Amino acid sequence: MTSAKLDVSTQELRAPSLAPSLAAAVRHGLLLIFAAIILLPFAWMILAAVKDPSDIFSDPFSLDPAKLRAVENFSKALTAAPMGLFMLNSLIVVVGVLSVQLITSVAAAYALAQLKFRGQTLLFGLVLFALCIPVQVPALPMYIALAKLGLLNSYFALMFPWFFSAFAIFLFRQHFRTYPQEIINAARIDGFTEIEIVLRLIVPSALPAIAAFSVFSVTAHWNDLYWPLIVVNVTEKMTAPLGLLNFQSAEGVSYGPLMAAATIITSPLVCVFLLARRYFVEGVTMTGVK
Amino acid sequence: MRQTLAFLMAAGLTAAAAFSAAPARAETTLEVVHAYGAFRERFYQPLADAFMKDHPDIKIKFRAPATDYYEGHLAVAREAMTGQTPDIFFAGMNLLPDLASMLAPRNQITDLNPFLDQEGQAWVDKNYDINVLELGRIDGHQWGLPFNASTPIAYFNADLMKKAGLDPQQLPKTWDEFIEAAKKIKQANSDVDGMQINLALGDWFWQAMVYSYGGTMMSPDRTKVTYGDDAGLKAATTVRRLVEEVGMPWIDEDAGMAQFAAGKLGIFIGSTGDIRTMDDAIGGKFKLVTGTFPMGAKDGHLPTGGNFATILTQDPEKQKAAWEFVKFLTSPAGQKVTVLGSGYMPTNKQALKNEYLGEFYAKNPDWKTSLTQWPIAVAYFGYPNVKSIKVWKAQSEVLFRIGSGDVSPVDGLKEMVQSTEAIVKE
Amino acid sequence: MTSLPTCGTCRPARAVPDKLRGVNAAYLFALPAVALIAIVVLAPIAVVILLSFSNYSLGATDWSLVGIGNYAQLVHDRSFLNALSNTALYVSVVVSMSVLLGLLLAILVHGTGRLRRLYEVIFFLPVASTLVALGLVWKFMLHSRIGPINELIAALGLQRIDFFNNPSIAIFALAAIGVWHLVGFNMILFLAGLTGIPRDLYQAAAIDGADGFWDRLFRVTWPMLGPTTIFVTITSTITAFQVFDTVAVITHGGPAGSTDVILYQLYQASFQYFETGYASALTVVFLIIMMAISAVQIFAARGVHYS
Repeated sequence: MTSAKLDVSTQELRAPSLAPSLAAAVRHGLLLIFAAIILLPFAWMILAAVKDPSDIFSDPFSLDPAKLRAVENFSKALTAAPMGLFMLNSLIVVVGVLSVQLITSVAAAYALAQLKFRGQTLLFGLVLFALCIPVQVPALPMYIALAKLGLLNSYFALMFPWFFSAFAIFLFRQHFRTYPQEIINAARIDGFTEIEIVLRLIVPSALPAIAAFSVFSVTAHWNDLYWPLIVVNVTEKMTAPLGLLNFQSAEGVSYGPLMAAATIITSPLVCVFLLARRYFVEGVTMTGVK
Repeated sequence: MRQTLAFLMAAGLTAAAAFSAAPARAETTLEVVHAYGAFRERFYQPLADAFMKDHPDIKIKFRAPATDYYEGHLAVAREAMTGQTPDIFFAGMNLLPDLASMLAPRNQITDLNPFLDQEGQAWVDKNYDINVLELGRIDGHQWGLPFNASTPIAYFNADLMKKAGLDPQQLPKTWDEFIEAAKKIKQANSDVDGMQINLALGDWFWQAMVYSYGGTMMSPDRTKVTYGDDAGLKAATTVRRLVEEVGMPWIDEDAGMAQFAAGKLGIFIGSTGDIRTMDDAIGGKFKLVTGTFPMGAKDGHLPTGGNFATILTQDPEKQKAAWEFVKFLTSPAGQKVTVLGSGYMPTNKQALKNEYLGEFYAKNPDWKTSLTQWPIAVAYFGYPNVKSIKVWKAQSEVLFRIGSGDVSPVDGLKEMVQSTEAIVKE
Repeated sequence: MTSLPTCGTCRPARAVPDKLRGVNAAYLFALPAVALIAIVVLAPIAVVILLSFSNYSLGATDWSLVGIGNYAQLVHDRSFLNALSNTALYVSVVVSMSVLLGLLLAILVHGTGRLRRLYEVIFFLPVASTLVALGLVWKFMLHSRIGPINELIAALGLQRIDFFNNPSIAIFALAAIGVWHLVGFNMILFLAGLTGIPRDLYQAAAIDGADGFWDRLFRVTWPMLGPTTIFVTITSTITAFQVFDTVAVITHGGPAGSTDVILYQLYQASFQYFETGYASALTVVFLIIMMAISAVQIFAARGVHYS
């Protein structure tokens, strides 16, 4: 599924021709209602983050510019909770996970798609098998192993289970397979090593898929709560969602700072999403390729 | 993003400066673990800084704080296997018995009695209430010294009380009086609830109800479940009455606090540590007064939340240094910093003097309510073998059904006791 | 679904002058993934299956095999059966609603012209945002007394709803949040499916006299979206089965155990009670459920072909 196809705004489903403007009005009316429901919690979160805490519940959807408390709330979220540190931890985890995923998956996918070796069928079968295994299944033994090795509360523990991505290998293999064999052979004759072939020919040709997967991976690991909750029990190594959860339980209910913290950890991904909307959409559509 | 980075770098530099500022002639380094990272800045770090200024030969080094008391306990349990426990550990009130029974046989926890003896009985009497010391004493060993302590108190919305014809100067004291007051508040004000106590999340308040009727959860040696008695039944019946007669919403402490702060709840039962946040959230919209936790019996008690300072190091040199630090933490000066940073109650008698907290309490009487409950404070009970979470999960399900009337208090209590016995025996 | 790996899928590197070189490179390239798949997937699954037949608990020095004891305990464990039925209820609500609404939104959005981009962004926003943060927001939006939603309900003269403190409602409140979170994802998939429908099918239908909105919907659009619908249903099911964040943030399994779901129970047994043997049995059951859903997917995918 290419983006060009997606962006074509087709008209097949235009509503009954009898009253096109009425139909359009109904269509947009419905969409606006749904949009309002979707956006409601975001609006409440941002309002609660900037307004006087005493007005949060008595006047939920108003904003008195004279009583703005944004600076206090956000600075409290950044100092009392170290949200900054939590975000940095999340950034380290997300970048670390993605780098290793890309390296191992591109290599394996190339071997599966364009090379021949014994055990190839078995490996691909295992990848398909692993696609069906949710992370909560290996979580318990991995936790025990990490605990025995004294590796809990480390970045390594946060990242390790994700270094392998069956989805990435599968996705990349499908894309790499479409690369013409003739060009690869020609490159080999020209003296390209296999690594050069991957880096200079294959990877550039599959950039949209790689970008889409990256967006996918970053979203999943930025937002993950389950695994960090298991392997981290010290503030220093908390990721953003875990830090927020802990902030809530330690602070009691200061909604202003709490919602400021919620806004802070939500905003980076939303910004990435707004900037790279195309890759998000492609990433979702690519899950449908399988 | 750039600002965040700048902030992070600034924070990093400050932290680095704090670490490197330790005097070069430091001889003893103490590694300290506490729970709740947010408390580091509020009082742990300021206290450590002040202590190191007075004791240049001792260095306080904080390990990463634990998420909560339970996680901290589990971490120490793991470290005990490899002998890597911290020198000083702040143990949750309900987890000290487990900590002691795990570490004492391995000689990995220090009895504080010799240190107290060394200071002399007169000094001990001057600083610590016998009740306070008793919290950290098990089988004659003083395993911990209370550092943070809190009891549940009642928050009243004085405006709603007045509308219901109640006098905010004459606060209810017993469960019966609370229920009467709550009913009146609900009747006199449309769209508000009369009263709320958190029975949805965490067993502190349920324990408080049982204790307030003079009951206990288990026998002192933690072998027999005891809350199936008359006191437990009274507590369970009160739970039913709260839902049936007052229409109490079954929500957790956070949700109850938000509702109270929004002016839609007459009486809220919460921790004394909530005062700071509560003042802020109310923002002067109505008048807040605090009162003591409802009592059901003359010999009623209240479970104390918070933590103990424990000394785990077995190195005599370090033990001496650690004792100095613990002494400072629980001194009137140390407690002043702690109380103002948290809303907890001071664990040192002298802290009530005017030069420490006396004046502050005179100006902020709402902060003082918890203090008046010291005489009836007992340790927050922890079920053996760290089973508290599991025990509570089973209890809370039955409590809900008692509240909603699906099961009678008598049968519900039996069910609860049975489930507790089964879990504890596992 | 691509064909399963056979020799046809792995194209031989025919014209490689030095065949050995290619073979070596292949092993080199595959090695990291092979090692990782062994360490993070295969070995843990083997261990968890073994542990499920033992009475091991973390930190214990001695343990023994107890046969099917843990599984026998599961079958009779009321709280496990409760979690299982809660999860099933949650899944059925989230899947049906998020698929239907996703389809509805896709049909509405498809053909909005220039505004389409904007709608896509709005509906997809929950997918990109952190559920823990928005879960906290929902907890107070749906507060029984002071939440804005209940204020609105009361303003309309209706009875307030105890979203999270009534055991017969709480799971539906969580499911509503689940739908809110998932619907944009499904909409994007349906939009892709809609774009893939050849235009001439509508023309052909029009010649047959099917040119009304509903005619088109039921005679062309809906049948052509069949494969997409199956796929969306299955991915939604897998996502919904893994509900955890909102339970951990909002209800903690309550009130009265009405929102205790499989993963929350798994988490508590594994990492709060440290009942490793029992938790392992629970994990194996969870694994079997997930494998069964995947098997349905493979089976269903065989009958349809994707573009």
